[in-house]
Amino acid sequence: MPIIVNLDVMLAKRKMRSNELAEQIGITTANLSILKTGKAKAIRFSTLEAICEILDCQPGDIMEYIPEEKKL
Amino acid sequence: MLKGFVSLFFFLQIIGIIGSLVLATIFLFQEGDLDMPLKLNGTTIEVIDFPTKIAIFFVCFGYAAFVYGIYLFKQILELFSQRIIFDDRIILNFNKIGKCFLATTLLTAIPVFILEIISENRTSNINFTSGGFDSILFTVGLSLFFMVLSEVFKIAKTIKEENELTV
Repeated sequence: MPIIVNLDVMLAKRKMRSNELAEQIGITTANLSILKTGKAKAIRFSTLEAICEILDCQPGDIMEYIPEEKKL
Repeated sequence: MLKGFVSLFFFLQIIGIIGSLVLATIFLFQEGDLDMPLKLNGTTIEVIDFPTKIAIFFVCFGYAAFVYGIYLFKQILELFSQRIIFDDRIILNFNKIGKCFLATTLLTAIPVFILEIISENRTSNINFTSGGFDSILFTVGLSLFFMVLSEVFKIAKTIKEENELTV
């Protein structure tokens, strides 16, 4: 998927642990792990809003679009 | 309830296919007039010749495909009872059932139809029926239904996975 989640980078910048964030957002650590590892297929606006609020960042800070290389 | 009924039906079909194979073997080694007339999918056969033997051979294969289809359906019901619904095995089995029923229809209908055409004394008429459980259209429709069901389950599985991976 060309959308890359940089949540771990932001967590490191804010010196916050994954389980702390999960607890504050109100999602399980397993779901946060799915998001961090890029396995997630979609993210709810409510989750995104909560992450941005807690980490004090913009959606673009935790997500990045990198186009896939076209196969020859 | 349904599982038990399908299991019983499958068991009866197994007995049926064993009996058919025994009879088919006897007919394959027989030549000339038959002591008792044989009915092959509604067509009465009185003389055993080479085309009739081929037709019997194909009809037996068709019957075997039908029984295999029932076996796969039984497997699906077992998976359903274990709460396994949107699974690759279910999708594959539904698709296989469709193909088996289609093979059954073609393997039984075409040889018998050809046999009717080439036989010297045509005893049966060509029937075009729009419905009924014994018509080719119904069995072909049933086969296509199972194939469509397989595709529906495939789509449902993808949606379920996407839903589970929504954070």
